[in-house]
Amino acid sequence: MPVSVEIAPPKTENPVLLLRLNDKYEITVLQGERFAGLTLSNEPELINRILLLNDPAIKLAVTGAFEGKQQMVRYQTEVGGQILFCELHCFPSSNGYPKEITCLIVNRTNDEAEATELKDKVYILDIISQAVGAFAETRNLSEILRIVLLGVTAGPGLSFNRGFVLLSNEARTYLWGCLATGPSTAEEAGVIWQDLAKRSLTLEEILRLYKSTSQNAADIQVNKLVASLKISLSDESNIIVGAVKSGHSIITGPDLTDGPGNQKLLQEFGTDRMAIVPLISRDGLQGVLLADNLISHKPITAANLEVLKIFARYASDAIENSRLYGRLEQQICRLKEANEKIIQSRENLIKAEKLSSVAKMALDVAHEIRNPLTVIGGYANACLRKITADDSSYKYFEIISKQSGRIESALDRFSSVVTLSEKKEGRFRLVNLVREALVMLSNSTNPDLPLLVADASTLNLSVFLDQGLFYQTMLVILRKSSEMVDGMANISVKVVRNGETGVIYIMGGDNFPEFAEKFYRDLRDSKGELKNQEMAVALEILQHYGGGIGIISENKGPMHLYVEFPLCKEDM
Amino acid sequence: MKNILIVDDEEDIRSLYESELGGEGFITHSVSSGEEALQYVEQNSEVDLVILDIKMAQMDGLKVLEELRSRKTTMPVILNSAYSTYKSNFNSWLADAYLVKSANLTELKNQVKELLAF
Repeated sequence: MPVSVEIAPPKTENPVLLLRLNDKYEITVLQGERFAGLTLSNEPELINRILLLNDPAIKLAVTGAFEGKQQMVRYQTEVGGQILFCELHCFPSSNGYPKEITCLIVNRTNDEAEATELKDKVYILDIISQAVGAFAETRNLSEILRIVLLGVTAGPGLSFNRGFVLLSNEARTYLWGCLATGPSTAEEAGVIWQDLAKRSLTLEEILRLYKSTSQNAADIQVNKLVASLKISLSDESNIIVGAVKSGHSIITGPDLTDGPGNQKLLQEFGTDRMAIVPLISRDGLQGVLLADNLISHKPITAANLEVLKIFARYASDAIENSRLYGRLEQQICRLKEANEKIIQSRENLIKAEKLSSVAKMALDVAHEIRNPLTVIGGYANACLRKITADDSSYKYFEIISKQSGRIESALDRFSSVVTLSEKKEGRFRLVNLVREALVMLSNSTNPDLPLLVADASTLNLSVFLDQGLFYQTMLVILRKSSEMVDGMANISVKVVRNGETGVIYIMGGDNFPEFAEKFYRDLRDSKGELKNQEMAVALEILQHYGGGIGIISENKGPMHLYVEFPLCKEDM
Repeated sequence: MKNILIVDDEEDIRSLYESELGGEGFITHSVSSGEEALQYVEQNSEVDLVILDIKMAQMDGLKVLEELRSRKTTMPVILNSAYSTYKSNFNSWLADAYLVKSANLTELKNQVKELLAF
């Protein structure tokens, strides 16, 4: 016995329509006249736009229902500027009429929006997690910045059109444009985004792609733009500076912010709608991250900003770590150089010691010769004075005198070449050392001697060091000083005692009141590195003997340059 | 008559200088070490000039010179060494003259005369 199965639409608030097929479809609203805030009754045009009977998928489902099979299809339509996600259930007639079916339309718009939102959140989390993973794998600042920018602009998650990173300088006095990514025109954007959409790449894959190419062609313009940026952190009128100083992330825009700051932003970036997120790590300000939607004009929401902030926190720490690592690397490099220099110095010292021993021996030999020579020659001369030329011995004494004179001349020449270069480390009177250094500086091209002032109490102060190294150090410092004050005559040098140290003041006089500050400032470059090797060695020698160099003001007067050495204990 | 003290550890040098300077009309005395020189000067206030060798065993000439100067003595001192290198030593600047030993004693004699205004 055949069983009759009645298929009926479920009880629902959603609209239920009756479709009757004559020459064309006749639609009657059976139930639920409201759909997505719209009233369906007597609005055939509206119903047509919701039902979309011309859509092939919907047509197929309707045809299937007329053939007695229940159907379901999901589709998307736009009504009154609103995108609706619909689910259409088509039921064959419960009364068995072949030309009638019942349709139930379920509004899934909210579900879809939630699903999309959820999907976006998952994507964002995924991007952040991939970025954090990538941060952990590198200490290279450029790579970290590249990750930051790709994270900001990649995919449907953060999906900003353009991203810019400005970093703060070490003294945190200004921000400088470092790196940017993103298209500058809609055409460029089209090419890039179509390409990325086709590939559907993960952040990791995009990063790999970027690493394999030296620079993305589309980034050239934005990088030119960012490279031209240098923003003083004292420029309070700048909206970026304001955000950075307050530590708060902001979204700029004509309705949110106003004034000259915005105009500046518009001039510099071509837009005044921008997310500004300070990059602040444990160590303090690292820079600022900027992002905008110049091409798509998509509004930047508070939710976008929140995500950027999370991202910026990780990025800031990664940047700080990278900078610390960079500094550490520099220090290691400097230590390596210093070590190499020490090894070189040691080798030179050994060489010098060997030469010194040879020279000393030679001089001792010379001394041993000169004493008897003086006696022999001296007595020969004495004899010559006592006898007359016709004496038979006269000629012999004359020969002895002449030959001893020849040997003496040879010894003089020898002594002038082999100067006594014995090991000089020992106890020396500071004033004598300084005076001798000043004398050394005075030569035919620079005949002036600086004025040396030392009171009686300092005459006996002694220091323990290598005489030669002391001269080397002082000559470098004095020569540089004289260059800065137009000659030695404009320098005066004073030796004083300050507790356990002997201090040598080098003063530029009234005509050069800023000499000391200029000298000290000029020692190092903007990165804090010593500018010349000679000075680096001089400072190392100072350090080696526990001394130092600096500037100081006496009785609130002009600054003086000073060099100090620890005094020998016996002098304290 | 001016008194000259000759300080040198070489006996033949002392002998030569005594003979040559004696011939010039000076009264000469000689000692062979720095310590003896200091002792001699302390005990004999009539010394008018010292000719001082530098490199000697025990106390060298520069130390002797430093000691003499610290005693506030004003007598002229001529450093007379076989080495020329001590000229650059600042301690040697305390002397009134520095002469490298030579068989030709003319310069030494002239210097002695000049310092003693002889």
